[in-house]
Amino acid sequence: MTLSVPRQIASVPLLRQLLDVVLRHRDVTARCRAGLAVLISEASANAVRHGHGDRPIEASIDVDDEQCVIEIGNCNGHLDQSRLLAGMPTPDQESGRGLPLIGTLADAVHVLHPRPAWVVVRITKRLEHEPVEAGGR
Amino acid sequence: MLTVSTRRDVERIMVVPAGEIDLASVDTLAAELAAAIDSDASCIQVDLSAVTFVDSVGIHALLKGRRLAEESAKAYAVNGADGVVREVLELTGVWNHLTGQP
Repeated sequence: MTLSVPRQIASVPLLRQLLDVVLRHRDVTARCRAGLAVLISEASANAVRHGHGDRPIEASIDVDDEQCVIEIGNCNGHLDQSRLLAGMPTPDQESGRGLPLIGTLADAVHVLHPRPAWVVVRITKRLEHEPVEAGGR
Repeated sequence: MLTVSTRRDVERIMVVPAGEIDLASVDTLAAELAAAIDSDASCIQVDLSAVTFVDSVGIHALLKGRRLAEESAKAYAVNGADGVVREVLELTGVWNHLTGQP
């Protein structure tokens, strides 16, 4: 599923809720959905805050039985992959937790620059499913 | 969706956000925290028991509240977080700092 959403704060809960509906439909566990809710919120909040101008955010959600791949793209200069691997700031620092939190919760994160002045954060997370009841699915 | 209610109890103000704290809703929480700290109450307590989601944007607001309270020489403590909210606050290393534990 690929969609274009306005670079507005309301797009953050919109994308989070959309992903949750998709994952519920596939019987993904509440714990796993909670982690993915944080991941898509952090990535889309970054895109809203650091994107440029009126260009929309491009989001893609790809779910199969094994994993969920989220891509959030926005118009921006550059994002250094190493910032996703940074440790958490000390508690007295108020900012800088979004990217390390993505790095902690995701199974894999890649920063792509598919075209000039465009940055995409690709997040991969393995899915856990609720046990299938007899006769179910 | 986030609603924030406040309750005054003598010297203490309880700030009670309910719902999801993210980029779209954080300003509501930040404004209520700032108002509580600006008031003449000496203690601000933030009860997160009705919060169902928080991300780094919400954590920033809670930490900023703590700093503003400290600058105004007021007590400030967060309590009540459980489930995924508590997990995110622990994972990011801020839970003890916010609850006032050493």
